[in-house]
Amino acid sequence: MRRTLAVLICVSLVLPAAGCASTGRTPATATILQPSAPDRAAMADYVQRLPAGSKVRIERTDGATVRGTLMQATDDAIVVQKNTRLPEPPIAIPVGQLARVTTENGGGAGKAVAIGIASGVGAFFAILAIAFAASGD
Amino acid sequence: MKALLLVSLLAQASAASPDLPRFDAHAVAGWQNLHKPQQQPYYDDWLNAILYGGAGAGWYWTDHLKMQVDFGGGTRADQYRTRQFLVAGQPAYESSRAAIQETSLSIGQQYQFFRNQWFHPHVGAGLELAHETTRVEYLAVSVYDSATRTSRLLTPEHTDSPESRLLARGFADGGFKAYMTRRAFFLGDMRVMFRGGIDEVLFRAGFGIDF
Repeated sequence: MRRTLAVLICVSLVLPAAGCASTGRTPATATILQPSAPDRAAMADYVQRLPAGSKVRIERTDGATVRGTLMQATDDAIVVQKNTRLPEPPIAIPVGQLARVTTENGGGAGKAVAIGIASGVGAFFAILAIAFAASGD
Repeated sequence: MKALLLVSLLAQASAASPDLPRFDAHAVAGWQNLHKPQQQPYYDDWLNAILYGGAGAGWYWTDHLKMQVDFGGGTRADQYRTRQFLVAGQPAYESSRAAIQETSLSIGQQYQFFRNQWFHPHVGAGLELAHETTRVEYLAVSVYDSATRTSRLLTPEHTDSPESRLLARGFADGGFKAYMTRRAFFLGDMRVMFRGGIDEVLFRAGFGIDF
């Protein structure tokens, strides 16, 4: 009786999973990342309302993310200059490749904090090294 | 006019970005830890009280791959050793102090994450040639003679002439460059040398510049 019950429980656990696998559940399609025509128009309208000089985060339909400064927006494309250490020429991204554009408040403080932390960690190790060297075995 | 600007920018979009600096140089200070196994298993195998100083230069042959050469050395560290042996059935102990100092030259390959950012982590591996000098000072060794109930001097206190040897070791490292300006950076890394196990662990921090 116990064995039968155990077999039934095992079968009941395995079958639904097998069923799911066999039905070939449709995976999330890329349509989420491909704006339709109205979306494209809405996106073009939206980006043209953003003021030039805005710090923006751009998610492209291919999954890549670009952070930079918005320089220009038209019906066809937006022009941004990426946030890099050494300045790079602006790039144009066609509106059709825009999945999402959000504004950011700038990363100056974050960068300063990151450098501060890095310097602090370095100074800590330097002091630790000197302390160990001075203390002897 | 706007259309013309866009067309020219779109044409540039696929073009290569401006060249980044291909060379850098740095100076570092650090904490060196040497692994020197002892005959007595309960004695400390590690020499930790070593201050390290060094310098190096690197060449980026792509935006992410970099070849780096480093030269550096540590301060002298002492390791206390003891050895037990029998003389006419009586135990005798030989105590010594080994002063060890190491300088090294290494060449390695790094993979640097990100491109043209303010913070770049990296991982790498390479080969190091280390020149190790060891000078051992021995204390006098006496053995107790139970027949005469006196101690007898076996060997007087003496110092061996320094011995040098060249070690070739592989290493793996990981660290970061944090830029303070567009070209000047702070760096930190940890390097582990291997030679039949972990032979050395080195922590370094310093400053450098791209050019």
